[in-house]
Amino acid sequence: MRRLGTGFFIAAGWLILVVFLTAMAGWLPIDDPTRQSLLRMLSAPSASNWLGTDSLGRDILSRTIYGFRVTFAVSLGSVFLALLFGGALGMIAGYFRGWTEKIILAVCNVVLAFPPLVLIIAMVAYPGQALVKVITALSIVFTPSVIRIARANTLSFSEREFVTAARAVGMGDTRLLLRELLPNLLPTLLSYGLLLIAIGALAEAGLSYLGLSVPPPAPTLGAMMAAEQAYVLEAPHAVFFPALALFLTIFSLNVVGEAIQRRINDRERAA
Amino acid sequence: MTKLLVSVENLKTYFALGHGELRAVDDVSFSVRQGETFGIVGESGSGKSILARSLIQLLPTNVALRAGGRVVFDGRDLLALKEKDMRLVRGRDIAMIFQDPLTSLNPVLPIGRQIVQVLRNHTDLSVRAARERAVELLSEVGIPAPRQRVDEYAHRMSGGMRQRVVIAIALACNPRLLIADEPTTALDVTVQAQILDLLRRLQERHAMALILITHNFGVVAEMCDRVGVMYAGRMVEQGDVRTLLAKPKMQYTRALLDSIPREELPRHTRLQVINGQPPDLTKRVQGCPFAPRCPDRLDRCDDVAPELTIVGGDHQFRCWNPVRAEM
Repeated sequence: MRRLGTGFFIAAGWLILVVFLTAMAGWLPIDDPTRQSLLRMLSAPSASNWLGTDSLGRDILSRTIYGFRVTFAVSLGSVFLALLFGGALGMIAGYFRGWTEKIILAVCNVVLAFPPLVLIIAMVAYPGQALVKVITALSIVFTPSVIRIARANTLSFSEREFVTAARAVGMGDTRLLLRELLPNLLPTLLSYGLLLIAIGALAEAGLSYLGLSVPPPAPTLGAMMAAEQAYVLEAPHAVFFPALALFLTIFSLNVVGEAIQRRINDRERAA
Repeated sequence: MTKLLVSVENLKTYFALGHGELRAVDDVSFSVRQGETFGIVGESGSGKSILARSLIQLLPTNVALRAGGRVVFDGRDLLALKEKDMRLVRGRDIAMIFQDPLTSLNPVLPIGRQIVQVLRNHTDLSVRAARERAVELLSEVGIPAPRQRVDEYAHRMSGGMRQRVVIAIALACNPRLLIADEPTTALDVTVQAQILDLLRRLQERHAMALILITHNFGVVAEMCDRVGVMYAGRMVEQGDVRTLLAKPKMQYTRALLDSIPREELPRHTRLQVINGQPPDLTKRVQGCPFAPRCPDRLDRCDDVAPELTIVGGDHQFRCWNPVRAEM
């Protein structure tokens, strides 16, 4: 088995730090992310504001940390929903075949043929709570690919003899799906889920940059960058630090996701 | 005479394929008594495995199929049962083991869990009791240190060990009939003997009937009380194992027996082979399916399917020109 290497631990360390900060944001001795102060507009990083302040004098460190809250909520939430529904529908399609499969795949193709951005704009334009809408929209975008992966794997595992053997001892469909097939699909689905989390985080940043995510005054990474773009020459820190934090996080998610995927592949080859 | 356990009457399993109907099992009848071992032999593609799977309705679900006949087990026709009721029969009354122990165990579940699942499916044992029973079963099938092995995964075991685990799973609920589909084909010769030995011991201890599918006459001679020979989806001859092996009536059985390598022949003697290919099962055959390859064919063999002939009470065969006793 390959060693994980320093890169993996640095990436994992960064992720743990970010997750810890976002989870504990309410208890940390940081500024209120929405507190404005005209006295410290666009001030450079200092001892009191580690990453400086933005054009309304709000603390960038605290806004970045709170911004990650939205980013993670959206990406984790949408990936969770996509894995749940996509996994279930994909397994049903691959296991029962026939008409069920045809209908599920047809719906899948329709969703895939829809431009994701249009779908998301349409969803967000609908009245309702922004966070819920963004999570739902992204999960709808992610679900078809999860369905396809789950279905393909279910098909190949259903042909294996252990499934027939389990049927031969009188197991019903539900038990077969949950007890025999699901444990075999989990590694593949989870490692794909890890990559989706990175894509989801990036997508949330992009959407909030376009103003399609949670509306202000709630801080989001994309909105922070979009708002401070105009002052980028006088106060580059206001754009640079949120962007850097986002970049490092996405990069770390990919490094960790890939390492885990490699591990799973190695293990499957060994088995 | 002991009681009948299963009687298969005119069983037919036809698959609807794009270019016609594949008659995988065509009008097969036989019966198995309690505690008896019935062997089914035939070459690859003769319908042995489909016959076995038809008995407990474990056929592929993605092909349209047409079934006929009856499988009477314990006074009930299994073919008439609903899937829900059939599920209760599988594993509890009738269990089945498969050819390849490498693939018939779930790779991501510990072996103990797989036994526990079967037990919990059919009995109301608690998880703990089921686990205890799993350890007992593993030791019964001859797995050393069962208490340690129970949490192990299948990929850490040898082929023979895995087949023992498969047998333990099959025996978990004390079935009255075990169907073994070439249980030793994928194993080494020495391990084969051990597994067959194990099967025989367990069969005696549990007073269980066994349907043993194989293409090895050595295994048949060793294990079976009665045997049926399949060719092209039909059972062309069946009877008591000694009579059938010593005095085969059907030309195909004789040809099969002649093609076994013999120790008494000088080295480098050419093996006897059966010329030609088994027929395409999607084409309907008028006469005897073996006629095109048969060395002693008569004219009518091509036109009229041979009727069932019964000699000596139990020995049945379908042949117009049966092998005459030579000696």
